[in-house]
Amino acid sequence: MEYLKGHEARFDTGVVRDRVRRDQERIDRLIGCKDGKEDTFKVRSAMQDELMERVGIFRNGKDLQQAVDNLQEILQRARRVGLRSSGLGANPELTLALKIEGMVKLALCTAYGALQRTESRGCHAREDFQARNDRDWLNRTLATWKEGANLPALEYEPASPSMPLPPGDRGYGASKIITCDGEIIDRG
Amino acid sequence: MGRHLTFEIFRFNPEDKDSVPHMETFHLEETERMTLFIALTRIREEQDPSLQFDFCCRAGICGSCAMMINGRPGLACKTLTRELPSEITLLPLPVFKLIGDLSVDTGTWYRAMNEKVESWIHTHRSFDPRAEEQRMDNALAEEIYELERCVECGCCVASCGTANMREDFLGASALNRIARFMMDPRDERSSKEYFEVVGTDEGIFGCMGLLACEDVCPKNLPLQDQLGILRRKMGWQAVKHLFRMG
Repeated sequence: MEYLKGHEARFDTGVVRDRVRRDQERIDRLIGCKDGKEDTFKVRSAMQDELMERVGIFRNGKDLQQAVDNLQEILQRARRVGLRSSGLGANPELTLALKIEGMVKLALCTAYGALQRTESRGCHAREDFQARNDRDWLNRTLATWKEGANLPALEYEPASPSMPLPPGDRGYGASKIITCDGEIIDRG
Repeated sequence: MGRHLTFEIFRFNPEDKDSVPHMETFHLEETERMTLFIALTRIREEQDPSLQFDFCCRAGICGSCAMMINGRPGLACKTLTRELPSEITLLPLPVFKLIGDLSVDTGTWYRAMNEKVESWIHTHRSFDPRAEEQRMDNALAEEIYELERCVECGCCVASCGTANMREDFLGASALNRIARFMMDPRDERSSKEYFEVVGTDEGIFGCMGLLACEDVCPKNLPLQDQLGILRRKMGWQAVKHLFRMG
């Protein structure tokens, strides 16, 4: 209370009103099938199958490219979903329909980020780039989405400069490491 | 080839003015290791996208999928269809407020319960985030954890004779909660203070000892023992109270 003393707070309720109106319009479009009649559950299944088949723990450039291409088509479908049910009440079809475009976009961030990252790191193994490449890939992928775009824009920021436990030899599996200095350690 | 399953499912959408409560029949071919979660998801995705039911974890941890399965409360995600006859009747849990179809609002009920029994450690010590944690005997920590495993699914409340008759009854999960804090050495509440919370017909003395709560608890909590211990402790407190012994 002491902290708030003498302060005045102003809340612009117009922001809330505009947002509510925008979302209500979105809901009405979905219920009225204004953008199309794609079945939201089928779109989700298609996305899940794509990730399961081609964006698994063991992945390669060819499959990842295919996944990115297919997910872009699935994104178009996600933008055309329309409800089969009334959408009234705590309606599960509406819930998913509101989320599906964002879900497919996230799937694309994952698949496209994985396609660009030409190394194996953590528990994800690129069959075509088996080495962990600290020289080129000791960084974090930042994905942003421009309005209306069909792919995320990827940027990279360096990994934390001070690592209490720097990445090392895992002691199992094929371990080929390209160090920050470009030295290649290969233990077969 | 799997069996042909027939589901009788309760339908009602309170938000739709044309909706009236009724039972609706759905048919599905049984697949290997099918759970009610899988069956309901398939019905929703393939037959009726408006079907309301709650799921989150699919592994008996979140407690959101409790429903009446052939007359008995249980978690749909932990129930295999092969354990059931080929005709399966699904109803929402009683006692709780209906959201629609099989979905009920357990959250509001549990929030009120936790507020009623003041489900937090009562202590006069102030918390110092930099200090080392207070130590606890491992055996005791495990005993407390045993009761902490409650996922607040509401099966015990739905199965309770008293809870179905009187709205203000705390129910087994609340009494289990109190038993957990009584065990905890950090909670400074006295027996007298606990008595004020649960020493009534709304609390431990409302329990009729039917023990359906323990029979249906999906987490196998020792509710029967806890209710017995609590009843004995609170009984003693009532006797002491009669003789003004404190």
